[in-house]
Amino acid sequence: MGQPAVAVVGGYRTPPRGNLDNQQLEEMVFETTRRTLTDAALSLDDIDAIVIGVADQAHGRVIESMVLAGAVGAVGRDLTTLASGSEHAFVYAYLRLLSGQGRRILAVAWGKPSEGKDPLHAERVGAEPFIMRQLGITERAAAGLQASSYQARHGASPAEVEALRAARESQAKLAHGGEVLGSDHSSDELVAWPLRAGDLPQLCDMAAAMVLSVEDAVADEQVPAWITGIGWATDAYDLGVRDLSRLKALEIAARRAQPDVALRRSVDVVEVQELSTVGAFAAYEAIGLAGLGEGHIAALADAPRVNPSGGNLPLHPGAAAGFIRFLEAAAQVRGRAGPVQLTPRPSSSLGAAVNGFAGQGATVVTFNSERKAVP
Amino acid sequence: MSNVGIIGIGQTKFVTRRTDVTYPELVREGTDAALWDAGLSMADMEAVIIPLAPDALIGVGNGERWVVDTIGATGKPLLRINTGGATGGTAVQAGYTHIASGMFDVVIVAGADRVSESASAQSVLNKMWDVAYERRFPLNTITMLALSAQRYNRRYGATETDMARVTVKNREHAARNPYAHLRDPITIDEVLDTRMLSWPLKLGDLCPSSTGAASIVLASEDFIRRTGRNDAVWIRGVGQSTETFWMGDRVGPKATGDHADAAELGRAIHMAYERAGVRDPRTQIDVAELYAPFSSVELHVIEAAGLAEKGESFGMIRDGAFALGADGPIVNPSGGTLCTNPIAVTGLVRIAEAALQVGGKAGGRQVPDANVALATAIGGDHQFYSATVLANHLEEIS
Repeated sequence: MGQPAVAVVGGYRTPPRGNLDNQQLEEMVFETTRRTLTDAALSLDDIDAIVIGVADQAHGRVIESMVLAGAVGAVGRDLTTLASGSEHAFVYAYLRLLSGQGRRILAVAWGKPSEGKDPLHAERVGAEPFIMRQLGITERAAAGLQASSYQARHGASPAEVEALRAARESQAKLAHGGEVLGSDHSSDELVAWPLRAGDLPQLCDMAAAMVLSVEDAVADEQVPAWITGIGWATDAYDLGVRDLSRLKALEIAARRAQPDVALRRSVDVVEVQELSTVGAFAAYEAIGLAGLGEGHIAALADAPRVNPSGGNLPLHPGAAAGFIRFLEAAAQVRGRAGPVQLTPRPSSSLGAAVNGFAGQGATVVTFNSERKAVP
Repeated sequence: MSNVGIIGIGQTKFVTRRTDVTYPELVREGTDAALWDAGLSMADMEAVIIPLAPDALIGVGNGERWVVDTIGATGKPLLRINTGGATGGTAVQAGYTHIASGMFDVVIVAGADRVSESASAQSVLNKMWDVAYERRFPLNTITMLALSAQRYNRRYGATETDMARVTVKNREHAARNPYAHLRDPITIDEVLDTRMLSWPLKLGDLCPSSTGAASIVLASEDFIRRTGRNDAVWIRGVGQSTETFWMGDRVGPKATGDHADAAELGRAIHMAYERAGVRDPRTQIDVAELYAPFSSVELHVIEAAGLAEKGESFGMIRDGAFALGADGPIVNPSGGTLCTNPIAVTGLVRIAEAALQVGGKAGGRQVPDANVALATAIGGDHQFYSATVLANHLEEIS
């Protein structure tokens, strides 16, 4: 017997908040779980297992899944926790369904940077203590190295960088009905050369969840986004052995999800996690939407096909940023993308997520409104 | 769905502290051993799963990313599992899931822990509890399970001597296991004379903080047949379940499960039994590697596994049951978690030891004629549970 087709049949994300101080993390996640099940027209009893993506250090917890197990409805149920990137919760939910361990799985992720006292400190302890921590490597420092490497090789102009930032911001305003959160989004403060504060993802609080279902459990009233390809990969940890002008893990993940670059280029809509404004160009190339060194030229002509939600540069919920790219990509195919829904409704989409220093890890998922075999 | 087999197992000797290797180098020791056992190289591995529990124990956030270069995983699909103490068990189940999905033929679950790297593992673990409510109780891993032991002893009539008997049994087993951390035999009186930590738990009732590595290579039935292997150990059933986080919800009229017992572990185990076709564990399970970091925990875990009725286990141990050489299922012939607890891989070691038993490769701790085994793991505040049934054949379990 072959593997079943799997679709996203429900999803929800909270509105972005700069500092969600009137809700505990548990309350935010509970609300997300409840509204996702509502969107899927299901109850918790319909769910066979739950998979979550966590980021303990970012939220100041030792094992945050402990206190959040109840909020995702996992008491008395099968729960698995993934911890290298929230997007892996989506990957593992998919694997569980392919392997016959259930018919519907709830995947949940969250990022509440405001919960931690010092997000930068959490980044610092992510560097090994012998060399990289001594060098002061953090996610933003690594993004700076990645951007400077890209600039040295391909030379995106200040106007191209600014245009990308403005495009993401205007889409985010459209998506969320108002001002973009985060005080740094237009700041000129130099953070990690050549990146200024406004070039880096702006932290916010957000949670999201999706229900994944095998084909024979998809109900008539549900609008599915079928998963047609999936790939994930890791690059080397050591920044010194990597060509930082390229996002190699993302290149590999994209090839695994869809080996045919022409099909990747022809997808109707893309939601991609971006390490920085300059990093967006490298991501664009890694997915195969432009040739090497051409991302900064091609990217701007492609709006709003790429990141109609605004992406994670204007609104970055930390660990949940990648997972939310998948949710937004699926939502476009499902016709549930709200104010930024593209018309006509896209029949295909691609979501891309990265994690670790300068995108060490990456995951790519492709969706389609029609059930198709995974390559 | 493909059948999934274990084809390679690697462990280091577990000790209090290693200062000669970094965390990635330690993981590499485990992967080298497992790959050597499988007769394969990292180049053959199609995906990597890293079990790593609280990051703070090794002092580096997301240490799974740090190991990539050292173990040769660059370019490969990699996921990290973290279900607290259950992590190792869940990670092997994730490896199983990779292969059962049909997307992969051979994967490695590669991990290690350096619990001694943190100045105080207990100070890390003390912060697991919710800051607003139960942390102030004060709860820690010892007081939490002391409450469970008090409740079990009061309800079923077990004594501190019955608890000590578990330690004595497991230390005798560990003395035969060259990888175990605490290998010196101990007497009941010696256990009872150890320092009281939280009544009724004494130092002799508790596991050590261990450092070491363990890895497992898993493969599809197709790969195993194609490469002519006849010594694979098959994963026949898996199960997971979750208990409430709140200690206050484990007692009283509205309790979701009694803190004296391990009801959700029982649910996970019976899910694995059902998938494996185990109907009568007392006669069908030959060996059980049950995650029990404290002596008191082993009592109710044996019962959750259906190897004894509730409140029966300590009487059976008193009569010599579950020890090497006894009739019926043997529990923790490796010495178990009570003698070795490298948190991130403790659950993986349970599965590795169970696989060695049914594979007939357990050396001096071998249970004669072991064909079917159960391995469990527990994480969080006695909250996350996993159970795996293994056998040395794919026929119906009789």
